[in-house]
Amino acid sequence: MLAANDILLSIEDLRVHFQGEGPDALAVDGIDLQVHRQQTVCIVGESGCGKTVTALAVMGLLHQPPAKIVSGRIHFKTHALLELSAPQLRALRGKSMAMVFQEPMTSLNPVFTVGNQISEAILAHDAASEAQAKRKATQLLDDVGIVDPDKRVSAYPHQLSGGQRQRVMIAMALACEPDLIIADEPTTALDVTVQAQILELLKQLQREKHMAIQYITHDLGVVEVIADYVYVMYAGIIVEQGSADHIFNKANHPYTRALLAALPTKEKRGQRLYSIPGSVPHPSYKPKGCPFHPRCEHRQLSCETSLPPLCDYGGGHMARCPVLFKPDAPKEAGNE
Amino acid sequence: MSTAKHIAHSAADESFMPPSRSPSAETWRLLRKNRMAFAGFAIFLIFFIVALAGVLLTSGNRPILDPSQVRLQEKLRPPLSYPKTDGLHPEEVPALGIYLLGTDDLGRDVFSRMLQGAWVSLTVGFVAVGIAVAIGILLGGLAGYFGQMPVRLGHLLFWVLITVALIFLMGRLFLWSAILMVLVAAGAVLRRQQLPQKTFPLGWLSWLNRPVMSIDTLIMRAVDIMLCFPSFFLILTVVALLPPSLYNIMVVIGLTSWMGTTRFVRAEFLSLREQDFVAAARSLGLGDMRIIFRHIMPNAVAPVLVSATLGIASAMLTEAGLSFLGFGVPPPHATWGNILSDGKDFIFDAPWLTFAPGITILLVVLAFNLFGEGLRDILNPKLRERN
Repeated sequence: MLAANDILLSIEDLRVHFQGEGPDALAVDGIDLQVHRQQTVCIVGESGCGKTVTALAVMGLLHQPPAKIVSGRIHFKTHALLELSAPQLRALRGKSMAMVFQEPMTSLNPVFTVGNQISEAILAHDAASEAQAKRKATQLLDDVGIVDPDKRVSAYPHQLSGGQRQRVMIAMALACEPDLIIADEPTTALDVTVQAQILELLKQLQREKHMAIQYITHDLGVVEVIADYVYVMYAGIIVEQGSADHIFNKANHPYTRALLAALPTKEKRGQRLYSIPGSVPHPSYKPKGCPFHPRCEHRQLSCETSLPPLCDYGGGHMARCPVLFKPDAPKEAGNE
Repeated sequence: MSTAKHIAHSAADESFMPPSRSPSAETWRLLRKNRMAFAGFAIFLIFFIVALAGVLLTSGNRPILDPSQVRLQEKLRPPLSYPKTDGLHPEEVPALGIYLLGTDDLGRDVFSRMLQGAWVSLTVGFVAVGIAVAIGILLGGLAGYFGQMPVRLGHLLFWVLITVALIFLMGRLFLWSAILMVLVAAGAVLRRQQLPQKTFPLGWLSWLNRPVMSIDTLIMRAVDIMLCFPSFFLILTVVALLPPSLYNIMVVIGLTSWMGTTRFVRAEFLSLREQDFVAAARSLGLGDMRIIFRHIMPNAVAPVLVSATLGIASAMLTEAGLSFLGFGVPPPHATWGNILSDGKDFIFDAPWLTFAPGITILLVVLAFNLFGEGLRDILNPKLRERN
């Protein structure tokens, strides 16, 4: 269904460590990930599991130091991102890949009008005059569903609501028609109705502009709405990956199952929600073996010594848990 | 345009919304509400106009109001007295026909001298603070934005060599200077080549890459060192060594008062560069310079503006102090400080010689301080929300 030459972004064995006092924090500890053209890929996980760090590594926005990319390759289109010089990377950022941040309230510069800020993205990459950029900015505001864009283009951020600001952020990301948009929890700071509108907008824009979206979230409800393909991250590694259908209906990693069990549903009304015992390990002091084993109901002795391989269930569905592995389509595609 | 559309249009936007104001319009509105600051601002404007008028009226070969016209028979006339025209040459008669602020011990018109002094105070204030703010923004911005980058031994060596070469150049040792320049250029080219660290014959040069300290440490410790000197005495020493001139005083005051601005700017940059909108700007692929000057600087300008306003007042005071002690602008030229200094011998016979410059200095400095304080309140976003 998805050809290999369709791959837009591929991350191989990425490891990002943070240096500080004490042992290094292994924020991202060897992940492999692919985004195909025009696909929506979700990365799900708890706070501190390395989702955002992965995104920042792709964009080249990690502060180094303290962050350090220990190993890995990131291929975007024809570029090996980690080997590019700063100016080359800057030419790509905003042009062919763009990012939408979590906090629309603080992601816009308070002293400029929104039109100014969108124009700036255009002027930074395209040879356009100020007037052309301004016209394009107005058009973009219209595209992201802002009412009366001719007026709003000269509004200051504090005159807009949270949802409007996030639309402006999306317009900024769209300014140069990128192939990939990385959205880092863009709806977390918004209330649920606005959240639904923004998700709908992203889906619609994706259809119109043929972009791929890498969507980072901790909200499984959001994933269910937009994801084509899902990566579940825990403590810096990917524990399970598969289509949204696989993840929601046939989850094969205890962590994914536990997450799903903790989701509130209509059937569970009035009952106490399930919560996973224990807490997320500190990235500097991760347990040996499978990082989830101290909290896992299914753990075995082997889980405590070595990191389990990815077990392939076929159809792109893989989980890093040999204990639950019931090989319907038997074949171990694991590494290590 | 149809009526229905017109109605919908106005209903959606204007009727139920407060008027939309740009930040500068908002600042103006708040300034008018803050009476003390507005009074300060008004005095500042008047002072500005008077100083401008003063420089036009008192300069040139035959100025309209001549501040250095000596009329010995008219000495120590009190304010608002009329000149006795019979004893004077026609060109010695003051143009106004009245000594508004009296005359001094040489019969010079104090009003014209005050006008001439106003221009000195104004230029010293603005130029000195301009220099200080420029240095402060540059160093503070560097320390705040690039602060975590290491200064390597090679960098230090580079600057030391450049400085020594320039000193040689000034001492007319051209050969030595040229040798050092070539050395520096060769070093810079070698660094550009980015040779692998261990390559033989240059492997031994890798000690040049040793980090010594961070840029932040370098700049902020320099600030600390500068603050160790009692600045008025530092200025006195420097001015005593240099030939007396208005420009030297401006430059020296500027070069000894940039530390506060540097600290302010650094603090602002430290907090602003972690803001989401800076990350967003970086994710759009904007360069460092554009981020610093277009995205961070306008947000950091408020405290700089405040400290600059207060700085102008203190630069004027310093200049007046220097002139009072006789280290300021050389004598025939009048400044508020040396009018005060001349007047102190006659304080009981001719108090206007002391009071005119004294009260003016007080008023102008007070006005600048009030304006600066008011500006601090006005530009403070927390207070903005409330008003």
